[in-house]
Amino acid sequence: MPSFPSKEWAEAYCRELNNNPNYARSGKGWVWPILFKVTKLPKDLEEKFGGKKPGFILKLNNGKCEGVEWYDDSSEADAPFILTASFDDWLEIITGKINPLTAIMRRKLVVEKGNYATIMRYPIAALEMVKTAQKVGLE
Amino acid sequence: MPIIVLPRKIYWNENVEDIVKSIIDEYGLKTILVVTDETLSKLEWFNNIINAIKDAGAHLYTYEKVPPEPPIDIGEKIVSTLPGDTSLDGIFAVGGGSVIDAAKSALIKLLRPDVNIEDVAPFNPLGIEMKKPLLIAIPTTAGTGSDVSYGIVLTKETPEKREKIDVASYEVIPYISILDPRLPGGAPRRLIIGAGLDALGHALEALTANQSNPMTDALAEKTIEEIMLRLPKAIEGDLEAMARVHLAATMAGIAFTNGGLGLIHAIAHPLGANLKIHHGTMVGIVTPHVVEFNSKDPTLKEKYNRVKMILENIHGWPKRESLADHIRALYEKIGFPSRIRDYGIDQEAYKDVKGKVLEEVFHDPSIAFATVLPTFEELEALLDRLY
Repeated sequence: MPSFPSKEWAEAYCRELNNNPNYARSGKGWVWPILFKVTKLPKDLEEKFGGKKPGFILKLNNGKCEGVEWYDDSSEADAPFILTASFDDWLEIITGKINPLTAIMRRKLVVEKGNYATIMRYPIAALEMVKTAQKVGLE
Repeated sequence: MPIIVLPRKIYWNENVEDIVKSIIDEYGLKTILVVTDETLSKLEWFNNIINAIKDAGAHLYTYEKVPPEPPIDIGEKIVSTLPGDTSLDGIFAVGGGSVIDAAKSALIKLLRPDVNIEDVAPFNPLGIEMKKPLLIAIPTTAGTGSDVSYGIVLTKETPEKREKIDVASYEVIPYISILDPRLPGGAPRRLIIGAGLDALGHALEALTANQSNPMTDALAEKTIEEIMLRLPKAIEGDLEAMARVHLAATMAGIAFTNGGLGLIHAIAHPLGANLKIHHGTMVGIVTPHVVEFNSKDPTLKEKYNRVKMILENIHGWPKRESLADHIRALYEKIGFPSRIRDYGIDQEAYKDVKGKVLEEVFHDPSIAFATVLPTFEELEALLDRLY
């Protein structure tokens, strides 16, 4: 099982999204890449990434994941939608302890860039993305 | 922890002209903008409100052209009618949900002209709270809850498509809401029913939403009880019953702002838009079917059963199988046609719309708050039952 966050985890996630028929259906119409940023890493990961905030871009297009770009330093990356959360909050979202849209409402998951109304029109896709992340698992 | 947000004051069952005068005095409102629509602007009570503002000595601007389903740029349109150097102390939104939402947009445009209305979101502080102009809602329908909600629903039209844009900010919840039952009480019977069923839908959704909490449960339960008991009398012109329904609609507005909506509205939004059926009427059609669908979840069934128990054990209503059956009995009592075929929709035409709506339901923001999500197959079966 790949560790989170890592390039391997992001790639496994992209593959699993393409195996999820519910995501394929609910993600139709979403054509924008998303940059996921991870902040407030635990000490071991902070050392691993040299104090930088890692992240990855998922190239999402009409219910498909068309590829991944990994960044050890996500400040070098850009995408039409940028979602940022602390490591602990990502774990809460990925493990299903908090619904991703609720996380946005409570500012645990920050929409750094992108249109809120657009995100709110894909609630099922967001939930399917979380279910898929659970399949990838966490080390 | 959930965030619970509320308006500052709600005046209930009061004479609106008196309250308007006292608010102007209490808050030192010297320059006021009144926002309304063309139909309401011609009514006698509207002129009485205008006269009350003038009597209180405030300088008055009016915008009387809010259309139903206001466009995305309604805030700019309203503000553009004001002289450039105007400094407003208060905005009075006199109308239904469209008017109040238009006034919320104007408030944002006045205080944050740099902000694109589509970027307004609960997690993006606007920094306009507690600043003048104060937004004061005078709801003329007993249903939308917009007088106490954080939402703004606008319509965006491009050559390619026409879509509803839902944005929200805690900072646009009106500071004051004035509930005078004479205003909604004067509406045609079918509009009172539609608005009342919209409020009933808000309460049933808030009760079962995934963000519900003890406070929203309490408000939602009482709202359902009030509407089930009082709506029949309110539509017959009983002003006291209307006052109770009016307050219930506002309670439901607080409940869904803090708890969320769900599947009823996720279906009613696209289906109503495609079939051109009034929103409250559409909510009424969908409601009992979603209550039945949600009842497969034991927690939600228990919540519905608490309301059923209140109706049967406290108010002595005849025992029925489910809360959905009580809702259907209410429909019979008030003469509400509850199937889509009752609205002159051809079965073949409905089939075409159904295919489109199936996808749209899953893209409606309300569904994010549904505790139980249907599969596409379950949703299709539910839509079939509506006909």
